[in-house]
Amino acid sequence: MTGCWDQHQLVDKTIVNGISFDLTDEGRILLKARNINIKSKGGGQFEIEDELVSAERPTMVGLSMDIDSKSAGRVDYSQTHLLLIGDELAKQGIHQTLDSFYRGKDSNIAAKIAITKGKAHDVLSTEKDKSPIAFFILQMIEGAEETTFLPEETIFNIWTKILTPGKDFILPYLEKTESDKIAIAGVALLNGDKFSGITLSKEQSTLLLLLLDRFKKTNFMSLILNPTSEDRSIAFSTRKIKRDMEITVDKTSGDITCTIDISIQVEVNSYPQNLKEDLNTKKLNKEISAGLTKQAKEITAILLEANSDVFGIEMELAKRHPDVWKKMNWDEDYKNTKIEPKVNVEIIKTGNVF
Amino acid sequence: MSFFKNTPKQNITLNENDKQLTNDLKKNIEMIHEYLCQTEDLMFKKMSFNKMGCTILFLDSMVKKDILQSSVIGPILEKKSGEIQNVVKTTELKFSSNISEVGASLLEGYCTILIENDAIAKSVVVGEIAERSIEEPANERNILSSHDGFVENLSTNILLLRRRIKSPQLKVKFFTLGKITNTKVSMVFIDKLANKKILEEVERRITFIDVDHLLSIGDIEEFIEDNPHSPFPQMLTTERPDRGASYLTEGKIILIVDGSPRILIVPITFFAFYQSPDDYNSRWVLGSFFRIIRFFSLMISISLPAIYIAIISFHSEVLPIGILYSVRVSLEYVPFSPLVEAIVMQIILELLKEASIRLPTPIAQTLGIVGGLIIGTAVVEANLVSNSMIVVIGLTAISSFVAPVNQMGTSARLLGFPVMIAASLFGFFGIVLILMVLVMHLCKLESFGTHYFSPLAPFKLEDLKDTFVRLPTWKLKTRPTDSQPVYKQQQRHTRGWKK
Amino acid sequence: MITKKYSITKFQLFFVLIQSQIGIGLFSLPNVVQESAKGDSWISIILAGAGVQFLLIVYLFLLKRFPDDEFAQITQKILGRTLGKIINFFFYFYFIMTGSLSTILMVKLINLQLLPITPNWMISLLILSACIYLTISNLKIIARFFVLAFTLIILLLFLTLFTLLLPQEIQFILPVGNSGIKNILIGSNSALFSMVGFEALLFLYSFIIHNNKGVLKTISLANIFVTGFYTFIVFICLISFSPDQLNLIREPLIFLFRGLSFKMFARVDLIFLSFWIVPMTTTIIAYLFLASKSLRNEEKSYKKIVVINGILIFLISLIPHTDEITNLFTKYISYLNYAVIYVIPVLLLILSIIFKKHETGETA
Repeated sequence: MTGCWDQHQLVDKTIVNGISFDLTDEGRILLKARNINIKSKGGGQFEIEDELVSAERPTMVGLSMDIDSKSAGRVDYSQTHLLLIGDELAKQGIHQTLDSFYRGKDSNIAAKIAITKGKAHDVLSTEKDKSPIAFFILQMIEGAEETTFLPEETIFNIWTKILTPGKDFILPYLEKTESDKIAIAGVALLNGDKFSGITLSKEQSTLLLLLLDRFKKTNFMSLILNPTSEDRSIAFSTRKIKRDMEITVDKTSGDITCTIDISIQVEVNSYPQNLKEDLNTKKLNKEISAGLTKQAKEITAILLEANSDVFGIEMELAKRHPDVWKKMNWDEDYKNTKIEPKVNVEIIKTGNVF
Repeated sequence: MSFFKNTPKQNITLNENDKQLTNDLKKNIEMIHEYLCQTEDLMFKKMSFNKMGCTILFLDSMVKKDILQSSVIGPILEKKSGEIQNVVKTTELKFSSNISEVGASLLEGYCTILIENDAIAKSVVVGEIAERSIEEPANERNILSSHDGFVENLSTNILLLRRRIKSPQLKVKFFTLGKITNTKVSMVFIDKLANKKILEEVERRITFIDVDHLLSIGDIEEFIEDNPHSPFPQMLTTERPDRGASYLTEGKIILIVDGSPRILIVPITFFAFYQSPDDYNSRWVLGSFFRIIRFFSLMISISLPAIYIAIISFHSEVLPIGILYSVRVSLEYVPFSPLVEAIVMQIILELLKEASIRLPTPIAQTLGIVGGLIIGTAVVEANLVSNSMIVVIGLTAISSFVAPVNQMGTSARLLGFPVMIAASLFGFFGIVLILMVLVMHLCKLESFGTHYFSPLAPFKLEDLKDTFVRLPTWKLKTRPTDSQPVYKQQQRHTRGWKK
Repeated sequence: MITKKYSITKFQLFFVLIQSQIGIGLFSLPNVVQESAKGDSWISIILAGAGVQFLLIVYLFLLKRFPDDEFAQITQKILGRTLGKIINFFFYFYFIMTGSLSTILMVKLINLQLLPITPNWMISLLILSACIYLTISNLKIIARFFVLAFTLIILLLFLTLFTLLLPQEIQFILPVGNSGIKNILIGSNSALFSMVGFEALLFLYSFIIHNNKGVLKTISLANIFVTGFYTFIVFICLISFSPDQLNLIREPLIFLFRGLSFKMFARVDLIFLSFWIVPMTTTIIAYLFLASKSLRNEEKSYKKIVVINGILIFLISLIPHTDEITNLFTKYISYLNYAVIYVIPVLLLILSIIFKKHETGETA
């Protein structure tokens, strides 16, 4: 009895590693996928290689059929761990791209998404003679997530966040450098599900994640303290963080102020200094706090400019002050909110040397 | 007395010879010789006693010559007169005038003394007991427990049991089964402990056995078990006396067949097949660890090939990236479907196993190397079977031999076949379905009124202390209830010395 | 006490009730309830549980008046032979229909998630064969199997603990009571369909050993467990998904498991769903058993009746399962639900009090 209706053998599948979505110049969607190609080197030894397949259609639908027709066997998206979306396409909104992923029963919902500077397929088509390229990018992103450079987001989380009114989110932002290498460029700010076009650099992204209370195991920051005189600089890692966020509404003017206070305890990684002087922790604390607060203010200004409400101010407002919220048109009034961050640093460890 | 029809199919009619002995010595000898179908190993020793002719008949193969000479012939030649029972040195003297009884005694190894003008024959026991020595059974090895095993002789086997349980309550009941073979079967149990109902049931079923020959324990097993179609054995067979004795003390019943070194233990539960005497001789943590490993091996031997087939045929999403690529790579050039691969490998394994039982020892080792290393490697290199499949099947085979009782291990391995087929048709759904049906079957199965899957179904918390783990011996205060013993407590305050 | 040939202990009763209730309804529950109750769905479930408890007490009152009779006999004693038989047939019809609906929903779920191309009749055939195989043996064995199957529910609970690793927003259920009492009650109504199964008590009561005391405790515990279990699941779904999302997703719990991904185990939802087949099957087994017991039968023909009922359910499950037809079916069954679970036993109790019909069991 050939009752194997639902069987599809592993051998007959083409495994897609990573997918990139782009908007072509004519406004069509371009999809490129990385397929696994297994070459036998004889004697039971094998080599795994990537190959790139592309498809182009006016809209999102039907692209997978094209890919299927260019690959051996049936295409299997269950191991697609990486989704790259070009910035032009992201500006139109990423919700559409994601639909087939959470509707189908086989897709990998724990895949990571990133927005790329320029065309996504440029990033994906970088040749690497080591492991398949998608893994390389994936491991890069995972490493950055652990060091709190990039937010931890998968398709699953993103979809929840897109459908959560009152809160926006950020996505990793990748770019391809001149020497044909891929690098993390920071985070992309989104408004709703549309890319605002504005990004934050790496240093800013880690500070933003701290402000959002999304600290992972560790992070690395560096600061140039006094550019004028001794050109002192310091690099440190955060060990512990405590965040307080409060939203106050001024009854009369209707102004909304959001104050975010974070206290972080850091460990000094590198502090090249004048060895004759002792380390003055108190002074350093003050200086680092001031430096970081200045950076935080820059970040929040950019946030307002991008109209990206990552702190979920709208949500808090709807919860705490529903009457005020009902009167506002959040899309436009967000720009008028004042966000006042304040960073308080305390050095708890300085390594082996004082 | 039962009536037999005179049809060609009938058994040997033994009842028409209810003949009696006469006073004529020669006639008696003729009649007995006739009864034994003129067999040529029937010997006659002519002597005279009480000034009359006296013949001693015996079966040459059955008697121990020196006992015959010293206990029977010697005293008769010496005394030459008197009553036979006072002359002959013996523990047992049977009087009989019935030909078939005399014949039966001769067959048991007795010698019969016939005297002229006496219609009563006297039979004296002089039996030869030729048997092998008591040694550890080859299939049930243990590291820490005793190393003796049952032998073919019924009396010795009972001796091994009595030696361990010196209780006045240890009772033996004999049955004779088999019209041609007249095999002695004994039922051993502890009288005040074993459940009366189960005893009656066992006896009832045994008395229904009406066969020509009963040569081994397997025959009885099939005649009296509840469900012969089930893949699971409902009676435990073992060659170890320590196992037998421990089950006796739980209130179970043992059946021993003369001529077979294996004994049957009834009633039994599923989990008894995964207990081993070694568990009780090591520390309880180790014992529990080994028990858990055995159950794990049961899971593996039933379901591992099926899970593997289901994953690569239906649900490859489950595997993490690393394993997926290795498996994918090993499958790349294999032309067969996973189910065919798995079945072929399993069959090769069974062939190997059967062959290795019969291989003469000198060849076995060399062939093992050839079979294992060279053929195994060559098969993979020729891309006939994938590497990962060999790993899977090898693991399955190893784990199926972990079961202490071989029958259960083989049953588990063979049960893997339908699970594999279900997996290749329906993936995980098929596996869960078949396993569910198996558990249902286990819930239904009963062994002489005892629930086979006890203590899981019905759920008895206090019996669980000796199932999946082995709690320390001083905690095992009550007997397992599955054989419904008359009283449950088996220990009193054993660690009273501890303050 | 007249001892029945097949009897179950109160310990087993607990598991039988739970297994009859928890089954296919678990998955669509969050979706269905939150349609009206939104963030307060968990309150709806608790209210539904309270309603069930009330009904169970009503049942007990009725059953205690006839401790030794099977329910099929009770109806005849209260209402007279003909009317009693009609009511019995009504129950029979209800059980067959609910059994079929459970089968249809289960087949649909498996079709959607595990085996999309395999024809529905095949899946249905396999499930029902397994059900018939177990139900053919007597109640004791069914109860034993149910006790064992409970371990899978525990496994599921254990797995759901892992979902707490995923990001959550308590915001979604705040402020409490936002939806208003009316919506919460409508939600409770929808929840009740997932909680049916407790009417099995009506037919099991006469088989319970020592049913003169302790039964209330057992069934209350079972009810608390089921209500608590459902509340917990709904709660988790509520805080992990935004309200808009919940409206879209068919089976929120399975989707939630898909978001879980470990280093060794990528698709927890597949594994969980494969295991969950067993509790879903136990629900169908329970209904098959109840249907076979609801007409007054002799013991001998029990096996035949089970097979016939099984085939009947199979044939009904062959009806095409588009969303519309299934929804229609569900709607009609829920009407039946009311009649059988709520109206009839209450009526019977009232009538038995009015006509002073009861039988005291012989005191042991």
